[in-house]
Amino acid sequence: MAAVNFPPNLAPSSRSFTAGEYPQAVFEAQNGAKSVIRYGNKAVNAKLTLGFTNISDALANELINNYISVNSDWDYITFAAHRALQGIEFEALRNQMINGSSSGLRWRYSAPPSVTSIQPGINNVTCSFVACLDGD
Amino acid sequence: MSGFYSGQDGRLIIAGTTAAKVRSWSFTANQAVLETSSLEDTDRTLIPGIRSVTGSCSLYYYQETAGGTTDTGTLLSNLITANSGSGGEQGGGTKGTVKFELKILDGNTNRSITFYAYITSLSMTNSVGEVLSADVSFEVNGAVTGLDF
Repeated sequence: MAAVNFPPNLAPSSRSFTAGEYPQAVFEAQNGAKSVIRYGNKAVNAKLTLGFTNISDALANELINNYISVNSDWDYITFAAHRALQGIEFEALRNQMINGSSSGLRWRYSAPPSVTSIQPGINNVTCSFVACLDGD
Repeated sequence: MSGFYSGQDGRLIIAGTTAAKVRSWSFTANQAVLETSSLEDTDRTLIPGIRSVTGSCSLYYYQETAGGTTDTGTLLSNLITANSGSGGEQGGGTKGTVKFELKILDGNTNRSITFYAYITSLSMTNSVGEVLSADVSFEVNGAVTGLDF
């Protein structure tokens, strides 16, 4: 299990980030009172979706190769210092996304890249990631 | 020789035959663009997309010889087909493209654009005090086949 860089030269045209949730079970009584059992202190399963609009075949292929490289060995992705998070000016927010909103999480593809052909040589690609907390 | 051009120099050739009594023709060539701007960019970046050409012409409804064909009728027959039934029947197969040549005469030199286009609309209005004419719109199928402007 090793870190794999996200393609460093690819800047997304859209980005969506959802912070992780704390693992817990909620029991709600008939009177509406809630009891919560918390199973961990790290928010897990943060989600990140990157959209790439009108990119070349070569760049789309680079994304698919990155997916294969990461998932074939159950490796994980690092976004630090890459253009994937380009445009986030506040460093603390940038770090939240790099870390998946908790420490110890690792970004992996939650679905294969989706490639939509626009015209010869031009594609739209969507990549979805989930920040996983690996077991020992 | 330098010079300007006007309607006197214009010709419209439909399927190889010069149309009579043309009031006007026009065409518009378009280039679609695809946006490649990414996050953090401050200025829009583009790559070329699909090209297209559309056009229109206006013709007087005119017959060269008594009982002869009309250019408007020729174009209309490339848009719709009559069915001699009692209504509700289908009007036959789809229509093909029509070859258009939009030309400017320049002495012995012809300046023109040639293409095959589908007729997309043809409208005629007959009213008191006006000569009957037809307004025709068309969309080019594929690339233009001749360009010498």
